[in-house]
Amino acid sequence: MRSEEEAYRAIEKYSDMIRRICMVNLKNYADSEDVFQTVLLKYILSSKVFESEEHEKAWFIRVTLNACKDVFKSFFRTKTEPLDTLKDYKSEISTESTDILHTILALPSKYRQVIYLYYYEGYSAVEIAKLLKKNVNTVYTLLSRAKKLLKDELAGELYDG
Amino acid sequence: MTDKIKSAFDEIKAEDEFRTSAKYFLYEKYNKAPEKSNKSIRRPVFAAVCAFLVVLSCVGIASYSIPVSAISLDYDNSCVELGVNSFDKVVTVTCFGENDDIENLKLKNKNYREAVTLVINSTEDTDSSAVLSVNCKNPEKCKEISEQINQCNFDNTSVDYNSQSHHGLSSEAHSHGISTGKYNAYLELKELDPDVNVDEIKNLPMKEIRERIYALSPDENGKNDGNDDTQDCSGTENTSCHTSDRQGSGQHHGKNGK
Repeated sequence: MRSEEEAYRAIEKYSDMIRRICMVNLKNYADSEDVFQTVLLKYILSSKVFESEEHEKAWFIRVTLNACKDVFKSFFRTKTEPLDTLKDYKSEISTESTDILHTILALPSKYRQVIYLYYYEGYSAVEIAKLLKKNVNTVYTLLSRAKKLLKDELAGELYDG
Repeated sequence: MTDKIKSAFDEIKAEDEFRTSAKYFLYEKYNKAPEKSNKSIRRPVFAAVCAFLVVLSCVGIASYSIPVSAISLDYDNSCVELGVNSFDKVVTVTCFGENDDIENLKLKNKNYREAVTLVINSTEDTDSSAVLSVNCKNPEKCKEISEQINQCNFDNTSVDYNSQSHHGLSSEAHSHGISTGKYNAYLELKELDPDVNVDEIKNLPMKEIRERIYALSPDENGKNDGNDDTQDCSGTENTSCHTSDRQGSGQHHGKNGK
């Protein structure tokens, strides 16, 4: 079991990232809290030695994505909640960002995930393929389709000039 | 495009509530004393006790329902065989021939003495006599059952006794469609007359089979006194143990009746 200090350090370092991943994948705040606690518990109980900070970060992303998937597999979860997870978000967001996030969150989850990992976390298609356990070509296809969808929805907002 | 998306996601931060609940969760994990649970010991013990009780029940039910002795009552036209368990209760009733009234007697779970008395007293034909055979692996049990039945009071019918301890022959006897007592008598006859086969004696009354045995047996002719009990138990599992009650000269069957 990892030390309490390590666990608190992980909260400070990764809570924002986990919150964003939960927002991209889940439908409500309560599920996000559950996922965060699940990820923390796995971290505490894991004896994995990380080679670098990037390795640790990738581990957290992978575990969070899996925990989000498990939430959807759960029999008791309702499947008809509206997709407006920004309503659950309790802090202020600018209007421009709200529009962009709304559009991204309206996309199917397979596009949302690659958009987040590619544009925000800065992972390459190869790295995204490893994280999501997909074929590299599939990731390229998803990225290209996601870009097209975003362009169609947000033509004026995303492109300068 | 990248910058816009980045700045949009940059505005998403973990709320204070989010961090607090995570920190509280960690605090509970690290500082709360684990509950002393005896579950790890209780469950296997409970399971073992349940398993033991189930096995005990099965053994109990099996020992109650499995017959260890067989009492055959052979009449002229029919036969009733009672399977008796180690608690001296009748657990099986097998009928051969015409025995319409036996089912009405409800012999199961009765003590064998009571059951034998009921069967014999239910016979309407008072002129016939029943040949009673006791079959049990244990010669002493065999003898005990015979003695117990000997003490019973039967209304009308006379009963001849012949006890043997070839218990393993019940299934063989039933496969030929005859009672164990009759089958044992057939085997006894076969020793004296190797040409005889089971189909010949199947429909013969037991009395006739015994008479043929008596006629062929060299040691039986008039040598025994009326009230002698002749026992030949060598103590091994497959040894026959004969107990014959004889009264009067020249007669080879005893009478026990009012």
